[in-house]
Amino acid sequence: MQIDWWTLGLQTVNLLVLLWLLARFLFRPMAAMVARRQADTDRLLDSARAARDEAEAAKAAAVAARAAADAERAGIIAAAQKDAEAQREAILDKARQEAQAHIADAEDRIGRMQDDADARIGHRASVLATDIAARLLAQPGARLPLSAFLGGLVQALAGLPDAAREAIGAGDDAPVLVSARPLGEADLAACHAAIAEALGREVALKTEVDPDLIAGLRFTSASVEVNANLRDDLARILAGLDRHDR
Amino acid sequence: MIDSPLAIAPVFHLGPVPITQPVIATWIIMALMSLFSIVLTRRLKLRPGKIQATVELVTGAIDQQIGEVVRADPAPYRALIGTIFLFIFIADWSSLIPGVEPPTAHVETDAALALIVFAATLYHGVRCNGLVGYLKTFAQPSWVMIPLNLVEQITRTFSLFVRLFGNIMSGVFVIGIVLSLAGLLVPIPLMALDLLTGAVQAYIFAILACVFIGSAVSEGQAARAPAAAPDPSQARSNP
Repeated sequence: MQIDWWTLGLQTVNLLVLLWLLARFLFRPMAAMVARRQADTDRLLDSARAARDEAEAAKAAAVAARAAADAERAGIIAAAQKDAEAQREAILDKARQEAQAHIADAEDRIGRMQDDADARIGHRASVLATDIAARLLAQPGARLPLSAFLGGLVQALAGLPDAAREAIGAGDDAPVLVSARPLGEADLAACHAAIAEALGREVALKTEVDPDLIAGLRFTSASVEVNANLRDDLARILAGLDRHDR
Repeated sequence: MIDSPLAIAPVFHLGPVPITQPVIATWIIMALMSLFSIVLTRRLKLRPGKIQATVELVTGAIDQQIGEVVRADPAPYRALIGTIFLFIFIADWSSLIPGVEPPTAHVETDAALALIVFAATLYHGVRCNGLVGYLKTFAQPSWVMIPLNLVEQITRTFSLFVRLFGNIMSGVFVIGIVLSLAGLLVPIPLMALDLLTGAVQAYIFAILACVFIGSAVSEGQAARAPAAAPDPSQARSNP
Protein backbone atom coordinates (compact mmCIF):
# COMPACT_ATOMS: atom_id res chain seq x y z
CA MET A 1 0.00 0.00 0.00
CA GLN A 2 1.37 3.35 -1.04
CA ILE A 3 0.64 6.61 0.68
CA ASP A 4 0.81 9.88 -1.16
CA TRP A 5 2.01 12.21 1.54
CA TRP A 6 1.06 15.31 -0.41
CA THR A 7 -2.48 14.03 -0.69
CA LEU A 8 -2.50 13.10 2.98
CA GLY A 9 -1.41 16.60 3.92
CA LEU A 10 -3.85 18.28 1.57
CA GLN A 11 -6.72 16.12 2.79
CA THR A 12 -5.85 16.91 6.39
CA VAL A 13 -5.86 20.62 5.63
CA ASN A 14 -9.04 20.23 3.60
CA LEU A 15 -10.81 18.43 6.41
CA LEU A 16 -9.69 21.00 8.96
CA VAL A 17 -10.97 23.75 6.70
CA LEU A 18 -14.24 21.86 6.25
CA LEU A 19 -14.43 21.44 9.99
CA TRP A 20 -14.09 25.19 10.45
CA LEU A 21 -16.57 25.97 7.67
CA LEU A 22 -19.26 23.66 8.98
CA ALA A 23 -18.70 24.81 12.53
CA ARG A 24 -18.98 28.42 11.37
CA PHE A 25 -21.84 28.14 8.89
CA LEU A 26 -23.82 25.06 9.91
CA PHE A 27 -23.51 23.77 13.43
CA ARG A 28 -23.19 27.06 15.26
CA PRO A 29 -26.20 28.71 13.55
CA MET A 30 -28.24 25.54 13.91
CA ALA A 31 -27.39 25.25 17.59
CA ALA A 32 -28.20 28.92 18.07
CA MET A 33 -31.54 28.46 16.32
CA VAL A 34 -32.37 25.41 18.41
CA ALA A 35 -31.35 27.26 21.56
CA ARG A 36 -33.44 30.25 20.50
CA ARG A 37 -36.41 28.02 19.81
CA GLN A 38 -35.89 26.32 23.15
CA ALA A 39 -35.72 29.71 24.84
CA ASP A 40 -38.90 30.79 23.08
CA THR A 41 -40.56 27.55 24.08
CA ASP A 42 -39.40 28.00 27.66
CA ARG A 43 -40.64 31.57 27.62
CA LEU A 44 -43.99 30.48 26.21
CA LEU A 45 -44.20 27.72 28.78
CA ASP A 46 -43.31 30.18 31.52
CA SER A 47 -45.89 32.65 30.28
CA ALA A 48 -48.45 29.87 29.97
CA ARG A 49 -47.56 28.71 33.46
CA ALA A 50 -47.80 32.27 34.73
CA ALA A 51 -51.13 32.70 32.96
CA ARG A 52 -52.31 29.43 34.44
CA ASP A 53 -51.16 30.52 37.90
CA GLU A 54 -52.84 33.87 37.39
CA ALA A 55 -56.02 32.15 36.25
CA GLU A 56 -55.90 29.84 39.26
CA ALA A 57 -55.33 32.83 41.53
CA ALA A 58 -58.25 34.63 39.90
CA LYS A 59 -60.33 31.51 40.29
CA ALA A 60 -59.37 31.25 43.95
CA ALA A 61 -60.17 34.94 44.42
CA ALA A 62 -63.52 34.44 42.70
CA VAL A 63 -64.25 31.45 44.91
CA ALA A 64 -63.28 33.48 47.99
CA ALA A 65 -65.39 36.41 46.82
CA ARG A 66 -68.29 34.08 46.19
CA ALA A 67 -67.88 32.57 49.63
CA ALA A 68 -67.73 36.06 51.13
CA ALA A 69 -70.83 37.04 49.15
CA ASP A 70 -72.60 33.91 50.34
CA ALA A 71 -71.61 34.67 53.92
CA GLU A 72 -72.72 38.28 53.54
CA ARG A 73 -75.99 37.17 51.96
CA ALA A 74 -76.54 34.70 54.78
CA GLY A 75 -75.81 37.48 57.28
CA ILE A 76 -78.20 39.84 55.55
CA ILE A 77 -80.89 37.17 55.42
CA ALA A 78 -80.33 36.36 59.10
CA ALA A 79 -80.47 40.05 60.02
CA ALA A 80 -83.60 40.52 57.90
CA GLN A 81 -85.20 37.48 59.52
CA LYS A 82 -84.25 38.83 62.94
CA ASP A 83 -85.69 42.24 62.10
CA ALA A 84 -88.82 40.66 60.66
CA GLU A 85 -89.17 38.56 63.78
CA ALA A 86 -88.72 41.61 65.99
CA GLN A 87 -91.21 43.56 63.90
CA ARG A 88 -93.64 40.65 64.04
CA GLU A 89 -93.26 40.45 67.81
CA ALA A 90 -93.72 44.21 68.08
CA ILE A 91 -96.80 44.09 65.86
CA LEU A 92 -98.16 41.17 67.81
CA ASP A 93 -97.50 42.93 71.12
CA LYS A 94 -99.12 46.09 69.84
CA ALA A 95 -102.09 44.12 68.48
CA ARG A 96 -102.29 42.20 71.71
CA GLN A 97 -102.19 45.42 73.72
CA GLU A 98 -104.77 47.02 71.45
CA ALA A 99 -106.95 43.92 71.70
CA GLN A 100 -106.59 43.94 75.47
CA ALA A 101 -107.43 47.66 75.50
CA HIS A 102 -110.45 47.00 73.28
CA ILE A 103 -111.47 44.13 75.49
CA ALA A 104 -111.05 46.24 78.62
CA ASP A 105 -112.95 49.10 77.02
CA ALA A 106 -115.67 46.73 75.87
CA GLU A 107 -115.83 45.14 79.31
CA ASP A 108 -115.97 48.59 80.85
CA ARG A 109 -118.72 49.63 78.50
CA ILE A 110 -120.51 46.36 79.06
CA GLY A 111 -120.16 46.91 82.80
CA ARG A 112 -121.48 50.40 82.48
CA MET A 113 -124.28 49.22 80.27
CA GLN A 114 -124.99 46.49 82.79
CA ASP A 115 -124.95 49.03 85.60
CA ASP A 116 -127.21 51.33 83.62
CA ALA A 117 -129.50 48.43 82.86
CA ASP A 118 -129.49 47.41 86.51
CA ALA A 119 -130.17 51.01 87.55
CA ARG A 120 -133.00 51.29 85.06
CA ILE A 121 -134.39 48.00 86.14
CA GLY A 122 -134.05 49.03 89.78
CA HIS A 123 -135.61 52.39 89.03
CA ARG A 124 -138.49 50.70 87.23
CA ALA A 125 -138.85 48.32 90.11
CA SER A 126 -138.84 51.25 92.56
CA VAL A 127 -141.30 53.16 90.45
CA LEU A 128 -143.42 50.05 90.23
CA ALA A 129 -143.14 49.54 93.97
CA THR A 130 -144.06 53.13 94.70
CA ASP A 131 -146.94 52.90 92.24
CA ILE A 132 -148.11 49.74 93.94
CA ALA A 133 -147.73 51.37 97.32
CA ALA A 134 -149.52 54.46 96.10
CA ARG A 135 -152.39 52.41 94.70
CA LEU A 136 -152.62 50.39 97.85
CA LEU A 137 -152.53 53.45 100.07
CA ALA A 138 -155.09 55.12 97.84
CA GLN A 139 -157.58 52.41 98.60
CA PRO A 140 -160.34 53.66 100.90
CA GLY A 141 -159.62 51.04 103.50
CA ALA A 142 -156.01 52.00 103.72
CA ARG A 143 -156.43 55.75 104.04
CA LEU A 144 -154.22 57.23 106.70
CA PRO A 145 -155.59 59.86 109.09
CA LEU A 146 -154.59 63.51 108.57
CA SER A 147 -152.97 63.63 111.96
CA ALA A 148 -150.34 61.21 110.68
CA PHE A 149 -149.08 63.92 108.35
CA LEU A 150 -149.95 67.09 110.22
CA GLY A 151 -147.32 66.52 112.87
CA GLY A 152 -144.66 66.24 110.24
CA LEU A 153 -145.86 69.43 108.52
CA VAL A 154 -145.74 71.35 111.75
CA GLN A 155 -142.33 70.05 112.61
CA ALA A 156 -141.00 71.04 109.17
CA LEU A 157 -142.42 74.55 109.44
CA ALA A 158 -141.01 74.92 112.91
CA GLY A 159 -137.59 73.88 111.62
CA LEU A 160 -137.56 76.66 109.00
CA PRO A 161 -135.26 79.63 109.56
CA ASP A 162 -136.92 82.57 111.32
CA ALA A 163 -136.72 84.80 108.26
CA ALA A 164 -138.39 82.20 106.08
CA ARG A 165 -141.03 81.61 108.73
CA GLU A 166 -141.59 85.34 109.06
CA ALA A 167 -141.97 85.73 105.30
CA ILE A 168 -144.79 83.22 105.15
CA GLY A 169 -148.08 84.98 104.82
CA ALA A 170 -146.47 88.44 104.94
CA GLY A 171 -147.65 91.02 102.44
CA ASP A 172 -149.51 89.67 99.48
CA ASP A 173 -148.32 86.19 100.15
CA ALA A 174 -151.20 83.78 100.47
CA PRO A 175 -150.06 80.34 101.61
CA VAL A 176 -151.84 77.38 100.09
CA LEU A 177 -152.58 74.21 101.92
CA VAL A 178 -153.06 71.32 99.48
CA SER A 179 -154.65 68.10 100.65
CA ALA A 180 -155.27 64.78 98.94
CA ARG A 181 -158.92 64.88 99.82
CA PRO A 182 -161.21 67.69 100.68
CA LEU A 183 -160.75 68.65 104.30
CA GLY A 184 -163.60 68.66 106.75
CA GLU A 185 -164.20 71.45 109.13
CA ALA A 186 -162.46 69.70 111.96
CA ASP A 187 -159.49 68.78 109.91
CA LEU A 188 -159.21 72.26 108.50
CA ALA A 189 -159.39 73.79 111.96
CA ALA A 190 -156.78 71.39 113.21
CA CYS A 191 -154.56 72.37 110.34
CA HIS A 192 -155.03 76.12 111.04
CA ALA A 193 -154.21 75.60 114.64
CA ALA A 194 -151.18 73.51 114.05
CA ILE A 195 -149.77 75.88 111.38
CA ALA A 196 -150.41 78.88 113.59
CA GLU A 197 -148.59 77.15 116.37
CA ALA A 198 -145.68 76.32 114.13
CA LEU A 199 -145.43 79.86 112.67
CA GLY A 200 -146.26 81.53 115.92
CA ARG A 201 -149.11 83.57 114.38
CA GLU A 202 -152.22 83.17 112.42
CA VAL A 203 -152.03 83.16 108.64
CA ALA A 204 -154.77 83.03 106.10
CA LEU A 205 -154.73 79.80 104.21
CA LYS A 206 -156.16 78.85 100.89
CA THR A 207 -157.01 75.24 100.47
CA GLU A 208 -156.72 73.09 97.39
CA VAL A 209 -157.19 69.41 96.66
CA ASP A 210 -154.70 67.32 94.78
CA PRO A 211 -155.48 63.59 94.74
CA ASP A 212 -152.01 62.96 93.47
CA LEU A 213 -150.74 63.48 96.97
CA ILE A 214 -152.48 60.16 97.85
CA ALA A 215 -152.57 61.16 101.48
CA GLY A 216 -151.26 64.04 103.59
CA LEU A 217 -150.65 67.79 103.02
CA ARG A 218 -148.50 70.24 101.07
CA PHE A 219 -147.93 73.75 102.36
CA THR A 220 -146.72 76.27 99.76
CA SER A 221 -146.02 79.98 99.95
CA ALA A 222 -144.06 82.43 97.87
CA SER A 223 -140.75 81.21 99.27
CA VAL A 224 -141.48 77.96 100.99
CA GLU A 225 -142.91 74.59 100.07
CA VAL A 226 -143.31 71.97 102.75
CA ASN A 227 -144.52 68.51 101.88
CA ALA A 228 -146.02 66.08 104.33
CA ASN A 229 -147.77 63.58 102.11
CA LEU A 230 -147.34 60.08 100.75
CA ARG A 231 -146.48 61.27 97.25
CA ASP A 232 -143.54 63.15 98.65
CA ASP A 233 -142.62 60.28 100.90
CA LEU A 234 -142.79 57.83 98.02
CA ALA A 235 -140.71 60.19 95.91
CA ARG A 236 -138.06 60.37 98.63
CA ILE A 237 -138.15 56.62 99.03
CA LEU A 238 -137.77 56.22 95.25
CA ALA A 239 -134.82 58.65 95.23
CA GLY A 240 -133.28 56.79 98.12
CA LEU A 241 -133.68 53.49 96.34
CA ASP A 242 -132.17 54.91 93.19
CA ARG A 243 -129.15 56.19 95.16
CA HIS A 244 -128.80 52.85 96.79
CA ASP A 245 -128.92 51.00 93.48
CA ARG A 246 -126.16 53.18 92.10
CA MET B 1 3.96 -3.78 -15.51
CA ILE B 2 0.50 -3.15 -14.03
CA ASP B 3 0.18 -0.19 -11.65
CA SER B 4 -1.23 -0.74 -8.19
CA PRO B 5 -4.93 -0.05 -8.10
CA LEU B 6 -4.33 1.80 -4.82
CA ALA B 7 -1.92 4.24 -6.42
CA ILE B 8 -3.33 7.62 -7.36
CA ALA B 9 -2.03 9.64 -10.22
CA PRO B 10 -1.96 13.43 -9.93
CA VAL B 11 -4.49 15.23 -12.08
CA PHE B 12 -2.42 18.36 -12.19
CA HIS B 13 0.26 20.13 -10.18
CA LEU B 14 0.16 23.35 -8.21
CA GLY B 15 3.85 24.08 -8.30
CA PRO B 16 5.51 21.14 -6.62
CA VAL B 17 2.23 19.93 -5.10
CA PRO B 18 0.47 17.21 -7.02
CA ILE B 19 -3.31 17.52 -6.97
CA THR B 20 -4.96 14.12 -7.04
CA GLN B 21 -8.53 13.02 -7.71
CA PRO B 22 -9.46 12.55 -3.99
CA VAL B 23 -8.35 16.08 -3.27
CA ILE B 24 -10.47 17.47 -6.10
CA ALA B 25 -13.43 15.38 -5.01
CA THR B 26 -12.97 16.62 -1.46
CA TRP B 27 -12.87 20.21 -2.64
CA ILE B 28 -16.12 19.71 -4.52
CA ILE B 29 -17.74 18.12 -1.49
CA MET B 30 -16.43 20.90 0.72
CA ALA B 31 -17.80 23.51 -1.65
CA LEU B 32 -21.21 21.88 -1.84
CA MET B 33 -21.46 21.39 1.93
CA SER B 34 -20.31 24.93 2.65
CA LEU B 35 -22.67 26.41 0.07
CA PHE B 36 -25.57 24.35 1.38
CA SER B 37 -24.75 25.40 4.94
CA ILE B 38 -24.52 29.08 4.07
CA VAL B 39 -27.75 29.05 2.07
CA LEU B 40 -29.58 27.08 4.73
CA THR B 41 -28.43 29.05 7.76
CA ARG B 42 -29.14 32.41 6.11
CA ARG B 43 -32.85 31.57 6.10
CA LEU B 44 -33.27 29.85 9.43
CA LYS B 45 -36.73 30.23 10.90
CA LEU B 46 -38.29 29.44 14.24
CA ARG B 47 -40.88 27.44 12.33
CA PRO B 48 -38.56 25.32 10.22
CA GLY B 49 -39.24 24.10 6.71
CA LYS B 50 -38.65 20.54 5.59
CA ILE B 51 -34.95 21.00 4.83
CA GLN B 52 -34.25 22.92 8.04
CA ALA B 53 -36.22 20.38 10.06
CA THR B 54 -34.22 17.54 8.48
CA VAL B 55 -30.90 19.22 9.23
CA GLU B 56 -32.06 19.98 12.78
CA LEU B 57 -33.06 16.33 13.12
CA VAL B 58 -29.58 15.23 11.99
CA THR B 59 -27.78 17.67 14.31
CA GLY B 60 -30.07 16.67 17.14
CA ALA B 61 -29.28 13.00 16.54
CA ILE B 62 -25.54 13.81 16.50
CA ASP B 63 -25.90 15.71 19.80
CA GLN B 64 -27.82 12.80 21.30
CA GLN B 65 -25.16 10.28 20.26
CA ILE B 66 -22.38 12.48 21.61
CA GLY B 67 -24.24 12.95 24.89
CA GLU B 68 -24.84 9.22 25.27
CA VAL B 69 -21.21 8.31 24.56
CA VAL B 70 -19.26 11.18 26.10
CA ARG B 71 -21.74 11.83 28.95
CA ALA B 72 -21.09 15.53 28.70
CA ASP B 73 -22.32 18.66 26.98
CA PRO B 74 -22.10 17.87 23.24
CA ALA B 75 -21.35 21.46 22.22
CA PRO B 76 -17.49 21.19 22.25
CA TYR B 77 -17.58 18.02 20.13
CA ARG B 78 -20.53 18.76 17.85
CA ALA B 79 -18.62 20.36 14.99
CA LEU B 80 -15.89 17.68 14.91
CA ILE B 81 -18.15 14.64 15.12
CA GLY B 82 -20.79 16.17 12.88
CA THR B 83 -18.25 17.15 10.23
CA ILE B 84 -16.66 13.69 10.27
CA PHE B 85 -20.01 11.95 9.98
CA LEU B 86 -21.43 14.18 7.27
CA PHE B 87 -18.19 14.22 5.22
CA ILE B 88 -17.76 10.45 5.31
CA PHE B 89 -21.47 9.92 4.57
CA ILE B 90 -21.48 12.27 1.59
CA ALA B 91 -18.09 11.04 0.37
CA ASP B 92 -19.22 7.42 0.51
CA TRP B 93 -22.45 8.19 -1.32
CA SER B 94 -20.64 10.25 -3.96
CA SER B 95 -19.95 6.95 -5.66
CA LEU B 96 -23.50 7.18 -7.03
CA ILE B 97 -22.31 9.89 -9.40
CA PRO B 98 -20.83 8.26 -12.49
CA GLY B 99 -17.12 8.84 -12.82
CA VAL B 100 -16.67 9.96 -9.24
CA GLU B 101 -14.56 7.84 -6.95
CA PRO B 102 -15.21 8.41 -3.23
CA PRO B 103 -12.36 10.22 -1.50
CA THR B 104 -12.75 7.78 1.38
CA ALA B 105 -11.81 4.94 -0.99
CA HIS B 106 -8.24 6.27 -0.76
CA VAL B 107 -6.20 5.73 2.34
CA GLU B 108 -4.88 9.28 2.46
CA THR B 109 -8.35 10.71 3.14
CA ASP B 110 -9.13 8.13 5.80
CA ALA B 111 -5.71 8.62 7.37
CA ALA B 112 -6.31 12.37 7.44
CA LEU B 113 -9.63 11.77 9.23
CA ALA B 114 -7.95 9.44 11.72
CA LEU B 115 -5.16 11.96 12.33
CA ILE B 116 -7.73 14.64 13.10
CA VAL B 117 -9.50 12.30 15.51
CA PHE B 118 -6.15 11.45 17.12
CA ALA B 119 -5.30 15.12 17.51
CA ALA B 120 -8.77 15.88 18.86
CA THR B 121 -8.41 13.06 21.38
CA LEU B 122 -5.15 14.51 22.63
CA TYR B 123 -6.56 18.07 22.65
CA HIS B 124 -9.71 17.24 24.61
CA GLY B 125 -7.81 14.93 26.96
CA VAL B 126 -5.39 17.70 27.84
CA ARG B 127 -8.15 20.34 27.88
CA CYS B 128 -10.25 18.41 30.39
CA ASN B 129 -7.52 16.84 32.52
CA GLY B 130 -4.47 19.03 32.07
CA LEU B 131 -1.25 17.80 30.49
CA VAL B 132 -0.02 15.96 33.57
CA GLY B 133 -3.42 14.54 34.35
CA TYR B 134 -3.80 13.26 30.83
CA LEU B 135 -0.32 11.75 30.80
CA LYS B 136 -1.13 9.99 34.07
CA THR B 137 -3.97 8.19 32.33
CA PHE B 138 -1.37 6.22 30.39
CA ALA B 139 -0.13 4.74 33.70
CA GLN B 140 -3.60 3.39 34.51
CA PRO B 141 -4.13 0.92 36.05
CA SER B 142 -0.34 0.45 36.51
CA TRP B 143 2.85 2.03 35.12
CA VAL B 144 3.55 -1.29 33.48
CA MET B 145 0.70 -0.50 31.09
CA ILE B 146 2.38 2.64 29.74
CA PRO B 147 3.91 0.96 26.63
CA LEU B 148 0.69 -0.86 25.88
CA ASN B 149 -1.40 2.28 26.27
CA LEU B 150 0.96 4.20 23.98
CA VAL B 151 0.80 1.45 21.38
CA GLU B 152 -2.98 1.38 21.79
CA GLN B 153 -3.21 5.04 20.84
CA ILE B 154 -1.44 4.24 17.57
CA THR B 155 -3.13 0.96 16.76
CA ARG B 156 -6.65 2.12 17.37
CA THR B 157 -6.07 5.15 15.18
CA PHE B 158 -4.59 2.87 12.54
CA SER B 159 -7.49 0.47 12.78
CA LEU B 160 -9.91 3.39 12.58
CA PHE B 161 -8.81 4.54 9.15
CA VAL B 162 -7.94 1.08 7.81
CA ARG B 163 -11.48 -0.13 8.61
CA LEU B 164 -13.04 2.75 6.70
CA PHE B 165 -10.57 2.46 3.86
CA GLY B 166 -11.02 -1.30 3.51
CA ASN B 167 -14.80 -1.19 3.46
CA ILE B 168 -15.14 1.66 1.00
CA MET B 169 -12.24 0.66 -1.23
CA SER B 170 -13.44 -2.94 -1.44
CA GLY B 171 -16.92 -1.80 -2.37
CA VAL B 172 -15.57 0.36 -5.17
CA PHE B 173 -13.34 -2.43 -6.43
CA VAL B 174 -16.08 -5.03 -6.35
CA ILE B 175 -18.45 -2.79 -8.26
CA GLY B 176 -15.75 -2.01 -10.80
CA ILE B 177 -14.92 -5.69 -11.28
CA VAL B 178 -18.57 -6.71 -11.57
CA LEU B 179 -19.24 -3.86 -13.94
CA SER B 180 -16.33 -4.94 -16.14
CA LEU B 181 -17.45 -8.55 -16.16
CA ALA B 182 -21.26 -8.29 -16.23
CA GLY B 183 -23.83 -6.04 -17.79
CA LEU B 184 -24.72 -2.45 -17.06
CA LEU B 185 -27.46 -3.08 -14.47
CA VAL B 186 -25.91 -6.02 -12.64
CA PRO B 187 -23.87 -3.95 -10.12
CA ILE B 188 -26.95 -2.04 -8.91
CA PRO B 189 -27.63 -4.37 -5.94
CA LEU B 190 -23.98 -4.16 -5.02
CA MET B 191 -24.14 -0.37 -5.26
CA ALA B 192 -27.12 -0.35 -2.91
CA LEU B 193 -25.17 -2.54 -0.53
CA ASP B 194 -22.24 -0.17 -0.92
CA LEU B 195 -24.49 2.76 0.08
CA LEU B 196 -25.56 0.90 3.21
CA THR B 197 -21.94 0.08 3.95
CA GLY B 198 -20.95 3.70 3.48
CA ALA B 199 -23.68 4.95 5.85
CA VAL B 200 -22.76 2.34 8.46
CA GLN B 201 -19.07 3.15 8.17
CA ALA B 202 -19.76 6.85 8.58
CA TYR B 203 -21.74 6.10 11.72
CA ILE B 204 -19.08 3.73 13.08
CA PHE B 205 -16.25 6.19 12.41
CA ALA B 206 -18.15 9.01 14.17
CA ILE B 207 -19.12 6.84 17.12
CA LEU B 208 -15.57 5.56 17.55
CA ALA B 209 -14.29 9.11 17.46
CA CYS B 210 -16.78 9.90 20.23
CA VAL B 211 -15.62 6.86 22.19
CA PHE B 212 -11.92 7.83 21.89
CA ILE B 213 -12.57 11.42 22.91
CA GLY B 214 -14.93 10.40 25.68
CA SER B 215 -12.39 7.91 26.96
CA ALA B 216 -9.65 10.52 27.03
CA VAL B 217 -11.95 12.93 28.87
CA SER B 218 -13.38 10.49 31.38
CA GLU B 219 -10.26 8.50 32.24
CA GLY B 220 -8.57 11.54 33.71
CA GLN B 221 -11.62 12.26 35.83
CA ALA B 222 -11.74 8.61 36.93
CA ALA B 223 -8.05 8.78 37.86
CA ARG B 224 -8.71 11.84 40.06
CA ALA B 225 -11.69 10.15 41.72
CA PRO B 226 -10.74 6.47 42.03
CA ALA B 227 -13.46 5.84 44.57
CA ALA B 228 -16.13 6.68 42.03
CA ALA B 229 -17.66 3.75 40.24
CA PRO B 230 -16.53 3.53 36.62
CA ASP B 231 -19.12 4.01 33.92
CA PRO B 232 -19.13 0.96 31.63
CA SER B 233 -20.14 3.09 28.66
CA GLN B 234 -17.00 5.19 29.05
CA ALA B 235 -14.56 2.31 29.31
CA ARG B 236 -11.57 2.36 26.96
CA SER B 237 -12.45 0.36 23.92
CA ASN B 238 -10.55 -0.71 20.88
CA PRO B 239 -12.96 -2.27 18.48
